[in-house]
Amino acid sequence: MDFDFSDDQEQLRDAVRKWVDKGYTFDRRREITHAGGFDRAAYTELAELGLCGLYVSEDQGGIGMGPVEGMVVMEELGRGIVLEPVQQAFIAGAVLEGYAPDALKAAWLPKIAGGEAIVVLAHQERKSRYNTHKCDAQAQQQDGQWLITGTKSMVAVGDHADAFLVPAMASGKLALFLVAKGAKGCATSGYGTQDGGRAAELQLNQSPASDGQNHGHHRGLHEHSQAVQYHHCHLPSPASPRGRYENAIGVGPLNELLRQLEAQCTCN
Amino acid sequence: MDLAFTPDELAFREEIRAWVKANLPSEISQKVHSAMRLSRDDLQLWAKILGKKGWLGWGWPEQFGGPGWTAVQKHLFEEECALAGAPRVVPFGPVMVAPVIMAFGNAEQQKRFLPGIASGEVWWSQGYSEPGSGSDLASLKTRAERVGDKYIVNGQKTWTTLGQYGEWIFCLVRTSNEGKPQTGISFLLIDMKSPGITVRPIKLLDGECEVNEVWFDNVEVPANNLVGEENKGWNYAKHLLAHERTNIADVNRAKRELERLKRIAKTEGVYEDMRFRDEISKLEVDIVALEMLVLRVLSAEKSGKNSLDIAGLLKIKGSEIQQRYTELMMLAAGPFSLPFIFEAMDAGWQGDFPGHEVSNAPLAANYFNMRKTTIYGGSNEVQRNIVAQVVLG
Repeated sequence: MDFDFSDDQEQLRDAVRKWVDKGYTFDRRREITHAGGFDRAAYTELAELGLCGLYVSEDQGGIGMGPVEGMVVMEELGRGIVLEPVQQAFIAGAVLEGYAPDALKAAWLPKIAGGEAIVVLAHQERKSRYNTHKCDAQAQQQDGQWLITGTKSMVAVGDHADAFLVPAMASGKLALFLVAKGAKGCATSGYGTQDGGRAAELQLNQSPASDGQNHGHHRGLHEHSQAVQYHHCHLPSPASPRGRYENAIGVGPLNELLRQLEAQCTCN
Repeated sequence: MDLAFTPDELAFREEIRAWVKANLPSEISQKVHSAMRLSRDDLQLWAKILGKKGWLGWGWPEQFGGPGWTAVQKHLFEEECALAGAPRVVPFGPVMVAPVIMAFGNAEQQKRFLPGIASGEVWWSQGYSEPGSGSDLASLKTRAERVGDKYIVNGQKTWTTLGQYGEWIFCLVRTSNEGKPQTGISFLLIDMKSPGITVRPIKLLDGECEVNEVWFDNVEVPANNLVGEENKGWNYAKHLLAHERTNIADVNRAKRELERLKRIAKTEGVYEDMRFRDEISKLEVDIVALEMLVLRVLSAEKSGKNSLDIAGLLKIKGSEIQQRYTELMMLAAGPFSLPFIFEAMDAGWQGDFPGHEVSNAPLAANYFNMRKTTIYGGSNEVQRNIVAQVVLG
């Protein structure tokens, strides 16, 4: 049993930490929040570090790493409470790598890895709360295409995303579809979130899914569960594995904030 | 032991209920019931309606125009207002500075200041806390130097609630550095239009500017704005605290918010969840228990027994209950409390809130705002120390 990180993992950590410390100050974050909660330029910088392709295989343009590296990256991004949702690239990368047909992989994975395509999970529905199997969105097959209809809420940076991973019921069973933002009947409406970031409502009205969709219905719930698990595992909050008392959520700015508070300590 | 209100008290309650129903504007109560943003005008309108009835100073002695209500009647009045959705009365004028002026001010000051407070025309702010003096208020440094017939005031106050609306501010200022810090503090009334005063709003965790910083730069204050004697200000401020007994529990508002919690839980579908209902039930039990404690204090006052030492318990439980109902409301909305749409918290917003439930818009903000309750008004840690000394011995 070995709980230590490898040298490569430590180097990855250092690289991300340096970017956060130098490139994502509290001031930059505040500006991003004021401007709406998402900065494409910052997302591109993270893509240039290779992070968007973390779970994408090397022959699709990624760096083919796994969940331990993902954890290291999210810890470091968490320290800076980075708003840009790199974890969505992890989800999209992992799900497409694991389950998509080849045509779809070739069409999207390199772009996800390079940062050109932001692909986000759109799963939250009004009545489902935390039940991933409750889904009202419907998928119908017509002329060899899947047409998706439904509303999804709280889609991370939904009004900036290039495509969506959408769970929908196909013949009574849950299936996962990729819908590109320009698809007919697809509309988003964005807003800020409590943490300073950005999300959107996604409306789909008989919107065609991207080509080569037929994953096989019986795997829909499995893929969807995987996707949601990835989503929950990659929220930027894991505790330091080294046992140091270091709450990784925004440690950098938190330290700064504590310094400021101590300087003007007042408890009513 | 008799836990019932007397027939007279019940009749009084009915009278108040009817008056509030007839006089509280529904645009205001609707905002309060769904925790939508209240404007300065909303707050001042209600103050003036109460003022016209002679009830803005509902706790004032009769010689100063108060209605002469008993402690139970005051409690029933506060409860009926809260249940009906009246906004919280901004206390600085009618509840905080007026009693000090009545008890320690001279006749000229009473004539000058009390009518404007009683009518709701004049907005008062409280200048106590400073960046270096919160829990340890006596260490305050804003100084007032007597020069001829004026005081020259220099310093800074912070956490000044709604100071951006204030027209007058009552301040604890340092007039002497000799002896213990408490013995060098004076109580000064300052016109906020005086040259040298700067007010800067502070944006809090919920995105609102409920409090401010106020700077005093060589502000000239007439010496006859000093209340009572120089260097006795700390005693006057303590006198105020002795009067705030049961209000601090805020149990009336808790009862109203409990109903709002149930409405939200039903809309969100979690009311059907047994585990969530258990949490609501536990909270309801706590609220009833706190109400019993409040009534015990009131009845002890009625019978002449002094139970000042309960105040700390009321504050501790009251603040924890406030935090719990805001937390449960936010949990009820779950993911749908995440969107932060500033305008959606204004009544009458015409947009489409995610999930189509605009009543979810203020829930996270309310939760964040209530984090202050266990810190302000004497932090709960300090209150527990006091309870340990005074109650448990």
